[in-house]
Amino acid sequence: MSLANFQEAFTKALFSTELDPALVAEIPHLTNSPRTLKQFAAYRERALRGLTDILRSVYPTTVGVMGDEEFNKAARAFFLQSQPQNVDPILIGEPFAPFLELYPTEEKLPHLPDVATLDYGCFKAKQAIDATAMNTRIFTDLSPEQLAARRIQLHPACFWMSSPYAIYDIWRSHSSQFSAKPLSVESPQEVVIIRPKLQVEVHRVDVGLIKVLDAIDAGETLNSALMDARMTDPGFNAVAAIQFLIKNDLIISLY
Amino acid sequence: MEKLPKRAGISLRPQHYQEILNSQPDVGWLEIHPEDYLGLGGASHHYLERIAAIYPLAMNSRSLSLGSAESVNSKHLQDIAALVERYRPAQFSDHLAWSRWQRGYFHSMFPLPYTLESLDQVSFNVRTVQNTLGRRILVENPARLLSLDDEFSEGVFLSELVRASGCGLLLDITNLYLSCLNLGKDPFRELQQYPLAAVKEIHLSGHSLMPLDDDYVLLVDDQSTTICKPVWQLYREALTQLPAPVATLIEWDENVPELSVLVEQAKKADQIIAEVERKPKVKEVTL
Repeated sequence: MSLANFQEAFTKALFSTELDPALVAEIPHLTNSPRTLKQFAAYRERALRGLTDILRSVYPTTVGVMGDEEFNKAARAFFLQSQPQNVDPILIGEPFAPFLELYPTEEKLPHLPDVATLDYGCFKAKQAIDATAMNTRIFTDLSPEQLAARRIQLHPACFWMSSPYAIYDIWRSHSSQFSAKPLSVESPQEVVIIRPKLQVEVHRVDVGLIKVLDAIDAGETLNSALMDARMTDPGFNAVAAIQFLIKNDLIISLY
Repeated sequence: MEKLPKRAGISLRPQHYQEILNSQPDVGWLEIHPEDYLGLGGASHHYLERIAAIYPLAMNSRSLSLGSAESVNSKHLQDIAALVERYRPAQFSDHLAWSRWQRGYFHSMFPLPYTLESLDQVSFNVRTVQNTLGRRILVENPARLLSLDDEFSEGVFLSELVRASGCGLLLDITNLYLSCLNLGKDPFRELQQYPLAAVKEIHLSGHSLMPLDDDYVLLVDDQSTTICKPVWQLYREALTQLPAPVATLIEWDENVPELSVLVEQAKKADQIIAEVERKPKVKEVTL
């Protein structure tokens, strides 16, 4: 019996929905003893727990919202449905937020996929490549017309999202012991996730800034991005938006 | 690329980054899992760069799947090679185990049967890694939780692997102890079968107990507590049999305690190294 046959049968038994004695019995090279099934179960438990721990590190707020037990149950269901295809936690964790959209939680948690997306953004920001912000002198050296005609390259550790739910308040209540739980989750909120230096920061922002970031990301000039934001949000404050980008070291080049 | 000193080192864990930089504890070296540094930036690299400028570094990988029936994943090996290039560790190691099958990565290490076929495959995989990294690697003996139909004992398998691939051995004393107790063998006797002249690093760690039924407890290598007395005894015995002392790691992955606990365990290992070094070796005389 070949090594490949052994590993194929071992994997099949490892990722079966339940520990299946018939599948374990099919693994070649396994010495048959009354304890074999329990010993194999130890490997299986350890593998699933290790994978679950990776998701817990990527999705800490989601763990808080779901509770330990239900999160662990969802993580096991996720891995038993499809084995991870990469070593990197960023890639292992990526499909979990979409998975939660269809996962039947015990309590109705419509905001859960958005909370998970926020968690995932924080994890990506934590691991993103380092970059240095532009020297702020450039902004005073350029005329307003010159600046408006430029396109912006954003810091690689910058992510943003809009949600119909109070994701910032939820995130805050789970990340700080001093923050109260939101009274209602049914309140739209926008956030920008950044990691200018070492620490990841989550900022609640206006919808106008999200439009600016979307447009910058699509390669529009700063002027065009600000126009997009004004059309969406008549109260949009362009000066405050640019100050936010500069103050938080989010602009790494102009082109 | 510095050599690891023949002293005790400790696992480098994120919760200790700042304290290690501030207090620079008296340990010989530090070991990391390269998988914890696959992200390109952020705090982990910030601290590792600074710490690696102070201490010699070793990398202990858990993901190359040297025991896989398939060859090593070249994309992942390139990622690891980039980390090796960036930090230039004094030693690089991975395990005699497998953790992937086809497109699946399991983040856990599983046993393989010690057969001639496995030997050829592992030897091929080790040579692939060595060629890519441009250095000799060490292969670590795993803890076995169940028994397989083997053609070789683990010690003999590793001796053949060393001969066939030119790798060195990372002798995990705790894993040897746990495997033997789980499979009903005598660790002191099994030790004699390992290629001790090829040992370039030793691992020591704590373990946990998992009762399987009324009269059987499985010993699990979770590196979660202090090292038990029999493992210290086996360590001392192994050191006396090695041609010379080697770098020894106090490994700690789960329930990571305060830094002082790791440093204390490292001191104990250093003490044993010093005692064994002071003791004159009795040369065998063949008549």
